[in-house]
Amino acid sequence: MGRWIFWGCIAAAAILLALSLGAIHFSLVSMARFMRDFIQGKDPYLEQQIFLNLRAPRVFASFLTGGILACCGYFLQQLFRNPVIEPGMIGTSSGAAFGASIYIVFGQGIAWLPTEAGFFISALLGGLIATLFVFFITGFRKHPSVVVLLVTGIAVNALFTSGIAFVSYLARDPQARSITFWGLGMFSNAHWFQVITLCLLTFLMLIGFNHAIKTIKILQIGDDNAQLLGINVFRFQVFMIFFIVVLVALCTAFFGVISFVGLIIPHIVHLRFKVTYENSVWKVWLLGCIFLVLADLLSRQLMSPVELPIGIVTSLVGVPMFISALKSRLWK
Amino acid sequence: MEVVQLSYKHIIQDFSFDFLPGKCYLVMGPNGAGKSTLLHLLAGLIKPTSGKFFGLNHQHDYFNEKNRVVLLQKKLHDVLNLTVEEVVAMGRFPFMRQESWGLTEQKTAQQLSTWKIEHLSSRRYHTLSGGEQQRVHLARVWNQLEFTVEHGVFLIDEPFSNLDFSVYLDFVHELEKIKMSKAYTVILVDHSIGPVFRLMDEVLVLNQGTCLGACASENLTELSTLLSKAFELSLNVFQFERAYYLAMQR
Repeated sequence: MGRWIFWGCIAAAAILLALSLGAIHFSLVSMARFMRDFIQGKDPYLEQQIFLNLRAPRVFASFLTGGILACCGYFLQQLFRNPVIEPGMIGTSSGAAFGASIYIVFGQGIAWLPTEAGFFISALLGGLIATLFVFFITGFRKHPSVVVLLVTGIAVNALFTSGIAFVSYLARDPQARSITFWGLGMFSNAHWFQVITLCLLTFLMLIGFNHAIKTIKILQIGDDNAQLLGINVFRFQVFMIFFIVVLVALCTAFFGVISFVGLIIPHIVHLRFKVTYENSVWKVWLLGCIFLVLADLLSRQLMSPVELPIGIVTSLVGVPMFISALKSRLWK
Repeated sequence: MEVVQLSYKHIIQDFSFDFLPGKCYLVMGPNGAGKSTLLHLLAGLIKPTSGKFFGLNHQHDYFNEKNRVVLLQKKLHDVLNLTVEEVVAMGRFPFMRQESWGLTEQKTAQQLSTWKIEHLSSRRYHTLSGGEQQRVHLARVWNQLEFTVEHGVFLIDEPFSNLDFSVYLDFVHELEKIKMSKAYTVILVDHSIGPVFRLMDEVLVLNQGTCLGACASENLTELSTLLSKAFELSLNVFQFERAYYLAMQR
């Protein structure tokens, strides 16, 4: 219990730190004043507006996105018993990015579709197609080997990345620039609608995953044995992958491709903490949240006042992690 | 349970047999005869290319009832990062909704002591030796058995490969209890004639995917003939002071 309070405090501290630091620094006192003035309904003023409409949604959006991506990565790894895969590696993210970039260039004229919905639908379709593609190539085998899945992921990723390049070649300049930025992920456009959506999804995800982890645990004794214990393994896997693709596509539609979160966090949790299957979801989720808030803070602060895309920061941490995970698995 | 003209690719061809409830069957045959495949088919893990299964009295719902078929596999799967107790407790998963957590724990503890692995209960599964892992799986599978089940089917695939003598005798003792309860039809695949043979009612000899023949286990002459035919060797099963032995010659 004490440990949970400790990690809760760390999460709160990370959020507060991210709220206060930035192009303009806010002290705790001024943050409290903004909130008070907002609740009392006083006339908005510039600093308050910056805090409430730019800084706060951004921090909470990165917090929730981190949790979702980390959990999705963790579940993919458990489903495939493969420690080096994450949503970015089986094509989900790049497919979603491709779908969304098509929407940026060609879809903006569709008047009856709200922009957010259009983004989400095109990203979801792209993500589903890319993920299906990977599984089609691996032949829907229940557990493709680490290497097969990786190589297939690389091929599909390359295909969809070149698709994105093609679309941005067709695009006019402001669109092309936004595709480039968005391919690396950024939280600077986050707003409250997205935060509320993510909140609801996180709630659903935590309930769903905490339920599914019992089945995941049984799957560890092999698909055959799990089936004899009354689990429909194929249906479970298809359902889980669909759920994960929806979650990842939504995050990608909102904030672009943020790679490696789903890889780093489960890896750290397994290396550093004693986990049982029962409590692993919460640990992975909370650590993912903290990690992405801090990564976003870093992306704002490293080259201030210029903002780095967050994908660059996560890759900087993620690539060494990925190599070490791969090494421990393949060169044993 | 009756199986009619079961075929699976070229491995099993036109296999028909009527397994009577509560009886124990021993399946023997040379390597590659399709023994393990037969068990997988009976467990419903693979779908037959053709053929039919019938439940007792020709009901068609052989696979529809849950928790009835229990299988102990030959090839053990690597279990990642779970303790022995967790693996054994998994056997109770199908009954999790019906029974309390306390009962699950109690039954798990009982199996741990039956198979003499209490001292390993908090060890990680993958740190154990082959024989110990086999005992963990025995405990898990036995944990899944319910003596109140109707017309259960218990399939066992070469369980003795890693076991020492004392566990072998425990196994025979536990299997005898199952036979007494008459809840399960037991189908055991094994290569030798050992202490477990005295529990068997009938022996099926499999060769190249077909049932070469079946005979009552008391009929040792017929069994010897069948085995000799299947293995193309001169095999002789005989009884000496209540124990059964197998002699072989080229």
